[in-house]
Amino acid sequence: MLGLFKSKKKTDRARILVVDDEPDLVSTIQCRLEWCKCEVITAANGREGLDKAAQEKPDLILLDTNMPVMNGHEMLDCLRKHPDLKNIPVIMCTALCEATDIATASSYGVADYITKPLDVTQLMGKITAILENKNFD
Amino acid sequence: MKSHCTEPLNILIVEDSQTNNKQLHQMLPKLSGYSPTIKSVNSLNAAFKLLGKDNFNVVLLNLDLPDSSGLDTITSVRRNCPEVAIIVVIDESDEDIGAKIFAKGAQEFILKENYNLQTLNKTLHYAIERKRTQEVLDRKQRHLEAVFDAAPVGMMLVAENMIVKRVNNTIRQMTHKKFSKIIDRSIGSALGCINHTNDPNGCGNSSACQECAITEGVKAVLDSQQSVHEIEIHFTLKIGDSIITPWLSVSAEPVMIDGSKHAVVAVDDITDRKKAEEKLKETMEIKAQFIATVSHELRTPLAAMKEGIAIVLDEITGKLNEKQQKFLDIAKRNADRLGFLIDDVLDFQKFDEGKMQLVLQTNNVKEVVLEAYEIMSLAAKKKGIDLLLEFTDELPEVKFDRGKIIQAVTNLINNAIKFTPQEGQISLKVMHQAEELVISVSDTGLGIPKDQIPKIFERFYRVSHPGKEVKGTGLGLAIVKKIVMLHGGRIEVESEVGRGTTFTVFLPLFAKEVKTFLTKQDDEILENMLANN
Repeated sequence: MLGLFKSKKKTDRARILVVDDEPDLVSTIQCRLEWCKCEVITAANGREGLDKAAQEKPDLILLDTNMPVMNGHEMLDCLRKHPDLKNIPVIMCTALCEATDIATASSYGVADYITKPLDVTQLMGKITAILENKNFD
Repeated sequence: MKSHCTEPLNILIVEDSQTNNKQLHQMLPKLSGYSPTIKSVNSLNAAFKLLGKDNFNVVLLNLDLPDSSGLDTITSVRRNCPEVAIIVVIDESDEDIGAKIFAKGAQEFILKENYNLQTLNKTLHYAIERKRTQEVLDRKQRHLEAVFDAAPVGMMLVAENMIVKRVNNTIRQMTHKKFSKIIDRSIGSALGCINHTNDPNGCGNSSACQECAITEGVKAVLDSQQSVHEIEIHFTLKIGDSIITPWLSVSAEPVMIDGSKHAVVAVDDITDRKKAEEKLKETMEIKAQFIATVSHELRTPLAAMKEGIAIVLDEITGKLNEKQQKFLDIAKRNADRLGFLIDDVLDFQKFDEGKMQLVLQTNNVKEVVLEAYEIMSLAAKKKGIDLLLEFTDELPEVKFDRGKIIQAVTNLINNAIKFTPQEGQISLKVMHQAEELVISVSDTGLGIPKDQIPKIFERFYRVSHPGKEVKGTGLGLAIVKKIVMLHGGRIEVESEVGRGTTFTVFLPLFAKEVKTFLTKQDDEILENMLANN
């Protein structure tokens, strides 16, 4: 009975992979996510992102589009093709002007979008929504 | 008795018969309406000598002279003296003598047997009149030809069968061809189009010819008798061995000539203008790209900065003391300010490009204005300014872009705050009259000098008050105006230096904006993008 009242937040101990080439931004996102009790792994480009994803098997990936070495679109393509990784939900960060391209090109495999500059409250909302959905599957 | 209004008349008799000469000398002085001066010669050469020296009005010319005979005599005289009226004196008439002499350039003829005063009178009058009329017509013809030829645009006369009948000098220059290679050909052939053929039945056979705008246009004009204006075509001409590609602007008007349909076609070389347009377009694109890049580059570090400050202010990193709070607040406020400035610049660029589109919804006016009021009330309070809000009771629901109108109203209030000193007052009033929603922002601030009022809506314009520097990009009002105009509304300003300013926005109750965009049901992702920007 008591258990019903102790609602455990779905973000508790969720493992989130943040892939973005701006280290300062990553720091702030990491700080916020850890404040919400998430576990945060970071990568500075798509290549590193794939390695970390395979290694750590995160619950969700926050993916920036514009990165050196391998950008967000390319990493997404690789994720889709990887049997272990293709089901990890992805939130893509876009700059406003890219919106329409992304909507058409990467619609498969992307759980949601968020624009930069990030609104942290909005981000947490999306993360929660996705993780809740995931747990129902 | 001679009438007192007679015209002086210089007559030259070219006649080798003494008898005839004598007769004429007797009769001519009695002409009515003229006071003649008469000279005689008996050969063509002698005539030429006199014609060269004196100004004669009329020549009485016998065709049988010692040094010339027949109709060619007329030709000689005409060539020698284009302005003189020629009356041919003949022995016998034949059926078409009239036609023959006219063809050679004479005006009248008189039979020797008809030498009497009456006939002479009549003939002279006719000859002179005819010459005068001919002169007038010739002059008009010459003028028209000169105008046609010298017209700064190329001009072509095209017949119903699409054959070019006549062109002016400008066409000749454009095509670098002789008239003989232009007249009586198809339009393409006349102009030197690279696709033309010498096929008597057609202009050209290539696939491009099927869609040739010039041919289509001219044909349409001939068929429908309606004109076409300024068809712009990128043409390819072959001139000798070289190929040039001018931009041409073609207009055509229908005209009836001798009962047949024709088209008058004007061809203007607009290559320079087109090049300038291209250049301008390129420049605008570079500018847009630049502004987008710069704004993005500015926003990125700003985002990290704002987040860093926010994390500390939210006390995630630990509790803050008062001083820490105070200075971090300062940092946050100014980071926000920087953000607004960048937004203004980017917004403005979007407006400029015509890319700003409104999301029209029906709104509760009170709610919307209240939101703007609440956004700005803190800033006003901080400066010790009273921000008052006044509604008339009955406000209809109005269709407009909520976000943009809030932006416009907050911009106006922001300006008012900037220019109003402490303890001042700003009133935000909303009412409706006739078919318009009226929102006004009045302040008790510095006011705008009369000579600057017309300029305040110009981008980057900042009102200068000596001694009182007010900060800003100067885009705020320009943006307000664009937002209002996009809604089909208008904005007015009244101001007095030292007393204050009132900006009044009039919005149509039923916004009839040209470019409408998404409605609520549409793509949420894209809507989010718009909302965040």
